[in-house]
Amino acid sequence: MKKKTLLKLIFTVSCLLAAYCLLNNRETMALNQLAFQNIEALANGEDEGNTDCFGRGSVDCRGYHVEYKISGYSLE
Amino acid sequence: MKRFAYILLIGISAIISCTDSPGTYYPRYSTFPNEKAISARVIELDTALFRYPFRVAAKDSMAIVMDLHNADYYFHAFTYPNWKHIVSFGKRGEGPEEMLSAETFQFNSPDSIYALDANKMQISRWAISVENRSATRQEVIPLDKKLIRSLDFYATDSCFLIPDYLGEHRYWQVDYSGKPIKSIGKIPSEKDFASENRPALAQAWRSFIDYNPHNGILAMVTQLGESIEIYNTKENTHTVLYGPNGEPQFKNVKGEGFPTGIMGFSDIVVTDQHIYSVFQGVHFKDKLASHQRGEKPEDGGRYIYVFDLKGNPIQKYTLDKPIYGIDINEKTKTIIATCVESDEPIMEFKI
Repeated sequence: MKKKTLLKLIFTVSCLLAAYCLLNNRETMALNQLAFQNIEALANGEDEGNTDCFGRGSVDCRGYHVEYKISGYSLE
Repeated sequence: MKRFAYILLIGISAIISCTDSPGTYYPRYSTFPNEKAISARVIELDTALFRYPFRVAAKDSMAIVMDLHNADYYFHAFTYPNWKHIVSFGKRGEGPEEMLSAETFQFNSPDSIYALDANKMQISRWAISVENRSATRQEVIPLDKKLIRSLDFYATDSCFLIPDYLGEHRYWQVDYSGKPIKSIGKIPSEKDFASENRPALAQAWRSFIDYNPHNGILAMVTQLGESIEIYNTKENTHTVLYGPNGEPQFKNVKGEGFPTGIMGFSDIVVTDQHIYSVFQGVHFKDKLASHQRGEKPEDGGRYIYVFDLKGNPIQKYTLDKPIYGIDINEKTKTIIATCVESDEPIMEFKI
């Protein structure tokens, strides 16, 4: 009887662990998709915020090399 | 009952070990044991070609300079050490043979380089002929879409090493057909970022990298903040160091990172014994304040920090000119550097 209970417990813990890891992987996959969409939107010039790629420099700003990359016209 | 407690404990431990562990704190450096001021010797060029000379490298009898904001060509080849112009190549444009952007380059042989175009997401190989004063594109390697955007690279004998753009890993090994083989590491932030914030984190942690195949050291420095990482690929160790300015500071707006702290490092070179890095350390707010006063803020770093291969600070050089890209020759104790600030784009420092 004790042996059966032990096996049940091991099985339950394994299932919980597997579910947790699976959930974690799905989050990563969702992030990839989201990032792709964001970058495609930026490439197509779909910009909802106040973003300024200003000056000539080495900071990467939406495909340009600029001095400042500013959102909302502020560095706060 | 006792067994149940043990099993529960094992289960909880397994879950905890699967989870990222926030609250890691990395060692700081604050001072260098040796400090020295060094002066530039300006290289006289037979042509004035540059708008924003960003990268420089010399190999045997040739030197290449990459101009980030050029009028026509990204790359310019010179004889070395005489600095006579050979050829300009890598034409800016949207044509199939032209380049949309250039991030950096690397000598593949004494007369051949790899060049990275982040906007086209490709690495091209160019052969340069001194006799014919010509450069021809030999090969184009399209980088896999999974990499999204590649802003630096190092070509080893077996693969390219490329920093990750999404923040899920630190860098990729990419094969010579442009396909990712393996992802390695993670961004060593001391803050705990949710997964949806990682693309912004990765943009803020944009890093310049260099690798030395002789000692297996891959080192990275961040363009913002003051963070250094050393992957010893032979001993399989990873060292993280923060300077006084700490990790990159940024604002996350809809998954995009916006710099808020300082401009940090601008280039890195790993030699057989040391790691050399160019450091700026100027706050973006101070740069903007200069603009508001009607002044143009200085662009470039006035410091070269030298570390040993384990990350111990060795030497701090203070320069009399602001520089961007460097190439190091420890045998001749010479640093070649680019300067975007003056009409003297190439200079040498003796160390």
